[in-house]
Formats: sequence, structure tokens, C-alpha cells
Amino acid sequence: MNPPSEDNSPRKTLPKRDIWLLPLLSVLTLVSLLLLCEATASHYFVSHEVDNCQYDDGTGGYRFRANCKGRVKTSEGPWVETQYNECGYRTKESCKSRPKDTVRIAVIGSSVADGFLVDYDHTFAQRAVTELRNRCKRPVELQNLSRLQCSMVCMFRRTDEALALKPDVLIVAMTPYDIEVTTDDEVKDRHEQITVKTKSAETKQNHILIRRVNMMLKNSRTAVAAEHYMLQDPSTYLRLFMLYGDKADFLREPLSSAWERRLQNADILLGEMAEKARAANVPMVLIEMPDEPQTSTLFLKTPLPNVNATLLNSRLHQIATQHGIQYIDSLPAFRQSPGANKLFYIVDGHLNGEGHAFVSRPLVDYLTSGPKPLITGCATASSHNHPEGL
Amino acid sequence: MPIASFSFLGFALLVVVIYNCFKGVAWRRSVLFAANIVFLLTYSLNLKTFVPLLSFIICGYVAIRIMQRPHRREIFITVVVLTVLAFIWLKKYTFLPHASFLPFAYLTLGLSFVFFRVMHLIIDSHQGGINDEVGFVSYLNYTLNFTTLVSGPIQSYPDFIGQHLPLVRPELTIINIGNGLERVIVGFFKVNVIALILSIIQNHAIIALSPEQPLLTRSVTGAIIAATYPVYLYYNFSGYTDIVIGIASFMRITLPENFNRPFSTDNFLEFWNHWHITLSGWLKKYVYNPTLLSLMRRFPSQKAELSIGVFAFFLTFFLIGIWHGRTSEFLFYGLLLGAGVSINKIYQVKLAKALGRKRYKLLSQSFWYECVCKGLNFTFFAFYLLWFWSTWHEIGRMRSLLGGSALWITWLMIFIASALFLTLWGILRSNILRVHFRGDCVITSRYFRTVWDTGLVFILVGVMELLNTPAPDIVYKAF
Repeated sequence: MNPPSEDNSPRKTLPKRDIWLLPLLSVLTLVSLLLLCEATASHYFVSHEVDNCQYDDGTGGYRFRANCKGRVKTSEGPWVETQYNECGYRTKESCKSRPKDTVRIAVIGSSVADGFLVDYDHTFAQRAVTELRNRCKRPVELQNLSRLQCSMVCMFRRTDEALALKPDVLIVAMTPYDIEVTTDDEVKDRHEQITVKTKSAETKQNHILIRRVNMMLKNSRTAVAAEHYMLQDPSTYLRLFMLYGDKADFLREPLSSAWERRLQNADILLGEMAEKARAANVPMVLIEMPDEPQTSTLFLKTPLPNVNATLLNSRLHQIATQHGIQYIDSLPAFRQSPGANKLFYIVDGHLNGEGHAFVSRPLVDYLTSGPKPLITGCATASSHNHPEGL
Repeated sequence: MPIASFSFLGFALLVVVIYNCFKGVAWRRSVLFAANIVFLLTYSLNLKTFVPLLSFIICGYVAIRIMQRPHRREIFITVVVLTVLAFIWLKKYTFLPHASFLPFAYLTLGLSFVFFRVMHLIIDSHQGGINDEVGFVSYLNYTLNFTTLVSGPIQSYPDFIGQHLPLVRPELTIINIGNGLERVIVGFFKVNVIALILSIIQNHAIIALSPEQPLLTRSVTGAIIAATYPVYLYYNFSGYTDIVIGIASFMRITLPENFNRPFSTDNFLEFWNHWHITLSGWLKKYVYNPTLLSLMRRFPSQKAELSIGVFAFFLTFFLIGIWHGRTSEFLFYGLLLGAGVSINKIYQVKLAKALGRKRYKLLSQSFWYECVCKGLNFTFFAFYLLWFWSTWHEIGRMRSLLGGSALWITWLMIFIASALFLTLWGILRSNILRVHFRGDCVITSRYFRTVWDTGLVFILVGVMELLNTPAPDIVYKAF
């Protein structure tokens, strides 16, 4: 490792050609090493995040083809087999017939609620079903109507379809991202039967150079691998996330005007959804599924000033209560987890199978032993083991 | 401010730029002085914590000025004894009563290295080796030089002043800059990648060591624990030295080398000529030589030569040992060092006598003998370092976890593996150095080195950014 000593010679200047040759060699070395890293990372960080069952029907979000089977994989996780029933829901049970004495739950949400990139048995939905069957000793099924990139308006538009299934409970599973991406125009046009082109991240970029660089980085497996390891530490992750302006403002006290407006939109949409549910005599439950920044905040050794992980949750709780919606806060359960980096696909941002377990536990507890149990006659949490992984 | 950090690098490069802005002697003196103060303040903003260290330095300056004037020998001896006692007291050696220590927390950063510099100035001033008046700011710059304060290397005052304040400075060429940059890169890589990985490996092995492990696995675990530390220490300390030598070179100051491939040596005495060279050199000049000379004057018999030589070695190495720390572990470490060097010296002399110089030389050059000696040298180093990095309690615990048989297998493994590896590495290295292209050695050519150093930077940045584990601090910072 000690540097060799060729240059102990009395030579004082470099030959002219070395002035450009040495930097060129350095650049070539870097490029070669990057290519080598890219080749290695491409081998270990394979990604296939487009489910061949998904398609855009123009009503918001990607829906899934009926009776279709697919495969997806995030670079940070295993291959996952997906399977959709005759209604295109990620549910093994049929959506058509509801067997007698079966408790039916309908879930509306986006990709996180769908269990995107997570094995079916490890999704919060299936974990909850398994635990409910154990506790209640009767058949339970969950029709998961969630779609990829489904904003709050998309969820709103799915309410009728969900209620048509005649569920015993309607669950709306929401993430901060779902609230963030819902625009004022969408909310205004929520009753219109217009065709919505589902936005992809690339369409937001106008500048061609930035877009190209962005695409290169997005497609680079080395960048993914680097981010994956670099962001393992919650404080590093959060420090970088907080550099986002508006995107990160839902964690900052007081809430920004943009987020206040988004919460007003949530208020409108949840209010109308609650009215529909009430008319159908179906209890409606809102559960906030924490995202990675919120969870990282719980694991900071030194709290950041004016950063509050529960800010959004308490506001959603208020909105839900106003509209008679029952609210489940799953964030406290995440405090008992081994760390934010264990519960999410760090670069991708979706909850992983272990993370889903921390959503299903408060959900099942609330449904069976909450203040007003929605599913009665079940054993309480203390008399049963928690789902696998907890 | 950790030395092997980007913040230190940024600070040092800023100082270098300002230092090189103007040619004047006063400018250089002032910039270095300001940089040293700022560097110290990065460790504490509470001025009270600096009082003991600064008092020691100021008393040292007074002592040097006294030594530069006509004085009696008794005064010199008193000054030396008082300086040693002040150092021992400030370092809180455990054999002193606890109640005698200062009742507040204070900074002892680099105190040992400051002590060596002050002692060197006192002794050399007394002996007439430093004729020019030592200016106060220059003295402070010498003792508190931010590039050498934390862990050396120990540079002599004339050497430092000759490079720091000459009227005409050597040119800072692109080759000097390239070489300096290379030292910094290599140093960062050693501390933040190799030393970090080795410390992780050792920590994992310490956690994994258990009596439930099968005998062979347990022995391997024990061997990893004992053998990784010497290598870790080498990369940690030599990496630090590379960084400061590189940075000082940008200021046109050539700091002395502290390491010269120590594991390639094949005996204890030679090893210490290649390991922490400036410390060995200091002790040789101020302890070994005076002791040897005074004893030889007192006992001029030829028969006593070996005993005197061995005693002087023992004393020198014992002092090296106890200098490292304040506890009984370091006392024992010093005894092991002293015993090791004494046995090595006696063995060399007796064997040379028994075989004759020619046959002894032939034996020393034989492949297998060299191989065994390298293995023994490394194994003994790894053995006595146990008292350097762990406590009696930890050593006892590891010993009981290993058990009798595994303990022997562990050391046998270290000996065989180190003997083979170090010998093969030596052969490989000499063969690589033989590869030439158009008369130049390929591996030492600037083209190869550019590629190599770029690779190191790439890996360094990757590891520092991705591993999320800070590299352990410089071990010798504690001394």
C-alpha cells in the first residue's frame, strides 16, 4: 500500500503529454469501475416492477386484468407472484359469491395497500385475514380493490364498486403519498366520467437533459445499490428526505398551506365516501399506512426540530372523526419494529412483508377488540399470538 | 476533528492554500499558528480544558530558555526530572494517588508527542545542539503543529524550522503535489477502508468466540482476534501518518517517515527499526545511546558488553511499552517488549558466536529460516499486543473461552499462516517490481499509480458512503 518512489528522481515537471494523459487515465479508470459496478449491481439488483396484469383503464390508477397471473420484483426484494380474481382484485377468494357466514372486508387503496412487491401471504391484507380467522374461528375474506398509483380521487371513484360487494367493513388504506398526489383539479372533477391518464414520474420532467440524466440514474443499478446501502441509517435517510420542499412538508410543523389544501381535499373526499358507506350501512374505517420518512422519524437518536411524524395522522384522525369514520393509527406499532430500514424497500419506498405485519396487527386489534368491535365474537389480542414476523 | 475525515481534509487544504499565498516568513509563521489554534479549538471550546496542556508547553519553553543559557548540570537534571514528572502527572498514570490529579477534565491531545518534542529541545539545548534562539511562536508551532500534534511523527526542531521558515523555499511542483495527494489518498484508504474492515472482522470474531464452537472453529476465531489487530494497528497508524505527511508536503515540510514495511522484517530488533520509526529513533538517541555509553564508561570490561547492551535495549523497550499507557497492562507490555528484545539480542550474539559470522549470515539468508523468523516475529508481535488493546479481564475471558488446546492451536495457526503469507508476499512483491516496460518499473510508473489511486478513491468513497460505519479513530491519539 505504501506509495512507490519513482518520483524521488530529480525530475520537477511532467512531460507535456502527461498533463492530459494522467487525468484521462483517471477518468477512464472511473468509467471502467462504474461499468464494472453496474454489471455487478445488475446481477444482484434485478428489477421488474411492471406487472404484466396491470393496465390503465382511464379511471385513475392501474387496474389488473381479471384472472391474471404475473410476476414483479423490486431490486431490493425477491420475485413475487401476483394473482388476481375474476374482478381483477388481488384476492384468492372469488368476488362474485359471498359464502354464508363469511365476514367480507373490502379494501380501497393504492399500491401499498395492494401489497405491491410483497408476497401475497405477507401482505397486511392476507396477514389480517389469517389472524382474523384464527381469532374469530369463522371464515373471513378480504376483497382488495387497491390499484397502483391510485390517488384519493381514484379511491373515491372505487367506493361504489367496493360497496357493491356488500362488505361487512370498508377499509380505506391511505399513505401520505396518496394525499400528496391528489390535485385540486382532480377533486373538482371527481364526479365527471373523464379519462384520466395515469401519471408516470417521467412526465413531470420537462427538460430533456434533466430527464435523460434522471432516467439514467433511475435505471442505474449501481445508483440503486448505492442508495440501498447509504440510506440504511434513518437519520441519513431523513436528512436527505427533508431536503425535498413540499414533498416533505407533511412532517414539518406547522403544516404548509399546500398540505392544508390537500387535507381539505381529503376532508371532502372522505366525507363523501363516508356518506356513501353510511347509505349502504357499511362501517368505514380509515387506516393511515406510514411511509418510510414517518417511520424513520421514530428511530432518530436526536429529533429534528419541527419534525413530527404524527402530524398528518392526527389531522386525518380529526377529519375521520368529523365524518363518523373509524380511524386506525398504525404508526405507534412501528415504534416496536427493529428499525425503519427493516420495514421498507428503502430505495423503492414501498413497505416490505415485515412492514406489512406492523399494519395488520393494529388493524386486527381494532376490528376485533377496539372501542366498538366491528367483528364480534373474536378472541382478544392477548389470547393469541401475533402474526408471523411480529 | 478526526484526522481521516473529509472535514480535516477540507480544513488542511484551506490552511495549505492560505499558507502558500505569500512567501514571507512572518506570514507562514502566523498562518500555521492560527491554523494550530483553530485545530485545537475543534476539540473543545472550553478554554479551561487547555490550561494544563498549555502550562506544560509554556513551562517547557521556560526550561529550554534556561538550557540555552549557561547553567549547571544539576539544573539540567532537575529540569528533565520535573518535565518527566509533570508528564506522568498530567497523563494520570495509575500508580499516582488519584487525589493528586487535577479535579477537572482537561485536554491531553498529543501530550505524549508534545513531551517528546519538549524533551528533545531541552536535551539538545543543554548539549549545545540548538544554537539559535528558539522563538516563542516558532516553538508553539513546533509543539502544536496540527499535522503532527495528534500522533506524530516526531520531527526534530531544526528539521522543522529549516523547512517551515527558510527564506527561500523549494518549489512546489506538480510532481510534489501529485505525490502528496497520493499519500493522502493512500492514508485515507488505509484508515477508512482497510483498518475499518479489519476492526469489523475482529469485533465480529470477539462476539462469535464461544466454548460451544467446535475446536477448529474456535481456534480460527481466536487466531482472527489475535492476528487482525497488528494488521489493523499498522493500517490505522500508518494511514494517519500518510495523511499528515501528504498534507505537510503541500506546505513544503517533509515529515519523517514512521513506517517502512515492518512486517517484512524477520527479527524483533529490525521490526522496531521499521515500526514507529520516529519513536524508536527518539528513544535510541535519548535513552539507549546515553545509557549504553554511560554504562560502558562505568564498566569498561569487554565481558560486560553483551550484558550492558542487553540492559540498554531492555530499558529502552520497557520505556516504549510503558509510554503507551497508564495501567498495569502497559507495564506488562513493556516487560514483554524488554524481554523480547533482550532474548533476541542474546540469541543473535550467541548463535553468531557458535556458528561463526559466515555460517550465521548464510543461515539468516536461507529461505526457511527467514520464513520461520518472519512468522515468529509476527506471532510475538500479535502476542504482546494483546496487552496493548485489551485488559487483564478481557484476556482472561478470551483465554477461558478458547480453552487450553484451542489456545495452542490458535498461536500455531498464527505462526504458520503469518510465516507463509509474509514470505510469499515478499516473493510476489519482488517479482512484481521486476516487471519493467521500456526500462521503467511498471507498478511504480505514474500511469499505473494514477489508475491505482483512482481505484482507491472510488472504493474509499463507496465504502465511506455506503457502510454507514465510521472508521475507528486513530489508535495513537490516545497516547
